[in-house]
Amino acid sequence: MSSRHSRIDNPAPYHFVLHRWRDFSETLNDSFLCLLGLALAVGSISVPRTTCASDPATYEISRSSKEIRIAIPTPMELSIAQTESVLAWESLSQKLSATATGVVLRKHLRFDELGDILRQPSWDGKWQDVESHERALWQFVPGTVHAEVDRFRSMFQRLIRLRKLAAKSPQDVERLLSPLLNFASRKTSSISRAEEEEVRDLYRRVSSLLPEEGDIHYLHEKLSYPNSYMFVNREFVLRDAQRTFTVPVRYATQQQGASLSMDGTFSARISFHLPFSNESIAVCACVDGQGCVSVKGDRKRLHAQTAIYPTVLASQTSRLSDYGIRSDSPQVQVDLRAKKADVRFDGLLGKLGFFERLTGRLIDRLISENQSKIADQLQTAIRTRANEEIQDVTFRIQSLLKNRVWDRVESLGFQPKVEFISNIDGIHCRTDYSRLNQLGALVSAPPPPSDYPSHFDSMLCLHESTVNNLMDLFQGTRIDELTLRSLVEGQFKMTSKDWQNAPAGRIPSAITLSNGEFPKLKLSDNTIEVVLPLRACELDDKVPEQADCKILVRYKLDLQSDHPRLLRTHREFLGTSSSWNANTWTAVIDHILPTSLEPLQRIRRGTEKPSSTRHYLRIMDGWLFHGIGSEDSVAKGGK
Amino acid sequence: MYKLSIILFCLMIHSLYVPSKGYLWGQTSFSINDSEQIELKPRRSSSLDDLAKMQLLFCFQGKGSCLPYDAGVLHEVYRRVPALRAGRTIVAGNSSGSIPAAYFSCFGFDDETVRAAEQTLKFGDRSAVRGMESLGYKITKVLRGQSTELPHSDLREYIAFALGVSNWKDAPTIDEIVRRSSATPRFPCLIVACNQEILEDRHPEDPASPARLKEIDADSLYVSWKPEVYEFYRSHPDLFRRDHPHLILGQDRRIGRAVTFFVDRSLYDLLSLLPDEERVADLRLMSTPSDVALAIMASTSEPTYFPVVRETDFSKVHVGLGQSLKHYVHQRHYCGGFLLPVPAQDLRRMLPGIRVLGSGWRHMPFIARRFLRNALLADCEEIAMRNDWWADMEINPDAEIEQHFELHDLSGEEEFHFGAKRARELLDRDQGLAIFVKPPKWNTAHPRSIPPSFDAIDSYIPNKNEAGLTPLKTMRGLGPLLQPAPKDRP
Repeated sequence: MSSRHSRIDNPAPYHFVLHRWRDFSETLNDSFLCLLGLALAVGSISVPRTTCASDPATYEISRSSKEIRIAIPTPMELSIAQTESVLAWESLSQKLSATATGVVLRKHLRFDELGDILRQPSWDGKWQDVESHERALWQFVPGTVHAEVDRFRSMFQRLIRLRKLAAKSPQDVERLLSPLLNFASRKTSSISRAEEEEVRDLYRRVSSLLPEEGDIHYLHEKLSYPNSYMFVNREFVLRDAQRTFTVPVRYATQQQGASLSMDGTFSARISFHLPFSNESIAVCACVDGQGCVSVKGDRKRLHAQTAIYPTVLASQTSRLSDYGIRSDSPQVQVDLRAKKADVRFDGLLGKLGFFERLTGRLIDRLISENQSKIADQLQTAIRTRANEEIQDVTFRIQSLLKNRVWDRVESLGFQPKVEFISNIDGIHCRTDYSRLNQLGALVSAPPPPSDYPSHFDSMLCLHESTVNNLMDLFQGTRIDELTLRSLVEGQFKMTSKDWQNAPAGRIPSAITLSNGEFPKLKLSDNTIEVVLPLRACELDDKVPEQADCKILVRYKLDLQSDHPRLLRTHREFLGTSSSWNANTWTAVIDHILPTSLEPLQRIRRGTEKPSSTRHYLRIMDGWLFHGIGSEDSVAKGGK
Repeated sequence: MYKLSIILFCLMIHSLYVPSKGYLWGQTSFSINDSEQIELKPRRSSSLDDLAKMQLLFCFQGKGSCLPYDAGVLHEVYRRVPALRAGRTIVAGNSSGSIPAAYFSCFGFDDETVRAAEQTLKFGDRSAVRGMESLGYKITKVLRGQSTELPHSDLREYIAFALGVSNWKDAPTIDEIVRRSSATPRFPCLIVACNQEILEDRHPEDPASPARLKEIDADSLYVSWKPEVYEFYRSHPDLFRRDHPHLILGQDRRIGRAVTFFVDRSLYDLLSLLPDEERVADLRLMSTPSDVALAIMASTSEPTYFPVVRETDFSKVHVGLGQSLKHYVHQRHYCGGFLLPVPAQDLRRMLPGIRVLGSGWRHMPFIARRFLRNALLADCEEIAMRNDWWADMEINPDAEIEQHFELHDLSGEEEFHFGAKRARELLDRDQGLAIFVKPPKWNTAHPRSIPPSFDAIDSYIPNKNEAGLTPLKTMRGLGPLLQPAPKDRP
């Protein structure tokens, strides 16, 4: 398991993938339904070494193989960028006006207002509005118009960056870039909270200045580590990996006045293997088996009987990568071995040996002519079965990974870059959930804590940046108890005693998050700290209470109980105004954020006795470790 | 639900549903009788007076293939609530719950019918639906771009049961079962089905995404065009015809109601008395065996379960607002009854004396909720909360039963016992409500409502609302309808 903790020395080339945020958030809030496209088109880049030039007009960073040139844009360049943006806006505007869905999108994007903004020569004092428009463009646009939206957004962003850069001096840029590149060149396994904040802030500012996306990709690659890691134990994946099945074989024909019938069964065993790979998860299915088919031939007074013994060797490989599942077609090899036919001829001729041999050869020929039918039947049956079985196993792997990692974030439309590794321990999936203007983890994931039960079925290791990177999507979102509970229970598989004991028939309370600030999560020392900026709350059937405030909530991991629990240890309202109604807000927060959270226990009904799920939960240095094992796996592991 | 989340997420991505295929599958051999556009006129009938004695609305709430659970609930409720055997019960159903609802509408509640219902619901062959509900099956189909909907003929056993046809095995089609039946709704009944053309809001280029052309009012369940869309289509009628071939662009933004209630004559007459703006559904009269079969198919045709069903007789649909159905749509298809698990609002407003009992509902996980909303506009949980406001008791499965439902690891017999046990538990406490509810806009009795012919206590909240009207009291338990637990209980 050591490979997953080290930096990728030779990263696989990034795929040119259009990553988009899928729009799911209308339930939560229409405004935040942005779908972010990360057009990653970066080749392998060598390790950076930073030197900064100080040409007043051009700022250069030399590297061993590539240079980032940051030129302060001239008025002409700005004017061209503006014209290009306006033209792209006009083209998109025309397209949107041609369909009903486009008309809806136009209104949602406040497109006419955006056109006015684009035509303005300067955005002084309007940057907040500009950024709000930029964020609004990060939304999933189904259908063919999405390419046009992407193109326009790209032009608009370039114009934003150029205008921001035009307001800076080369020294300003140097002050931002140097520490970043210094940090990137350092090999470090830990980072202080303050330094992390600084790097993230610098990166956010720099990424909003660099006009060339390739340069941002370069920086991103050097600074950002995967912030989500999923591991599934090999034994767990290959549980029940050997299966047996039986294929009936039947064939009958009439040829040259003779009737021929074949009848038998073929028993096969299918087993699965996970070949090691650094690029994908490959599942290899091997089928081997043998059978016996009895053959009868009759022609008038001639009767023949024999048996065919088919043997089959087949294999098929299916690969799971971030593109999906790709299966090779099964390779099936069928060998048929036929026993010499016993021939019986009714009447006097049957007593003549040469006659028996002659007719025997005729029957043998007839059988061998029809053997291919048996082979075809077996080929088809084995091919179909192998295909079904391998898909079943591959889907199982995919669902394991998806359940634990992808579903949670993809349910918000995020399609991150994913790396798959299959090694002796099991299958690994590591993912960097960050957009181009965000960073994932700043150091690689630490090894699991020493008390982690290695025989557990699966483990999720999640960095706080995974959650924080998504939080800007939730600004202005209204979250009610029902939605939160269904997310926590359905997606995160956690529940609370508060919820189980709460009275039924209640109107769900709700909170509305702030528009300007984003929620923030901190993970450290078995503690989860959440800061939620809020602007409204709803209790019972009353009119929503409007007030800008922040709530700080801290959950501490309780390791005393049989199952790990999170206990709320701190709740504090920050920055409240005088008209603020403490009772209402407290009641709402208590409804929304329960006093305890614990993993949902699932009773698995096995063939002999039910077994329940075991959980392992630890939080340290920005990372959360969540392991899951059944009682069976615990027993196997000797605990 | 865990697995369902995954399935439905995949559904979103891979666009399981193909409307055109759905329509093709949805063809039944019923002939369309739209040459005769005579809408049935609501009338005040003697049957309306009979409704005054009704004490209970018993809603069979669909839970996919978990019919044995409802059989268990029925078993216990029949023992404890005399209103059933006394003929003072209105039955309602949505989704798979439409099957027992239709059956009891035709044959009423007595020892024999209840026993027969328990047997069929417990031991009926649900293997096809169970197979379709399984994770592996759905994912495989989805990834191959195939639909998961089963043919309605897989419901032959249940439709035959509802229509009282015992010799159904040699009947190859539902038409043949209908032909062999003489059952008609004799007792008040309401079955919920959603109106596909009205609700559908898929993006034309990505069926997993919403088009966002429509709006739904969660109180009246009226669907309208967004103002900008309406204006766009008014000026581009050719595009409207291309985009929405089954719909008619009206004089205002309204498209129609999201839901249809399949009702017997008595409820048809009763609910027609409600003002059109306040009634939450179109009314569709059930008077023949084919109407009952259509109602069951319409209500069970949930997305991913069964294909949509086409309306066969426009003249039996009451839309109101001075218009007939043909003024709203060229064709109507029904796509399941998932939207209204407790269709009690209109009935309670017209019959303030009744109590409302639900056989239990499984709420949607977040992903499933989003999937349905993207495809069919309505946020079913938002609407379910407004429904649940009206329930005096719901025999909702507890967490353990939910897990078993999810894992499909119970036999029919075991599931029956879980249902009966849960019902006993909640009936003993006379308490069982949905966790979350929301107050509906119309929560008072209508002036034309029928007062109960019995002493109905606690029907109203003592205090008047801002409009000076007295709201109806809800979430009361079954109270006086409940008799003590029999001593011979197992």
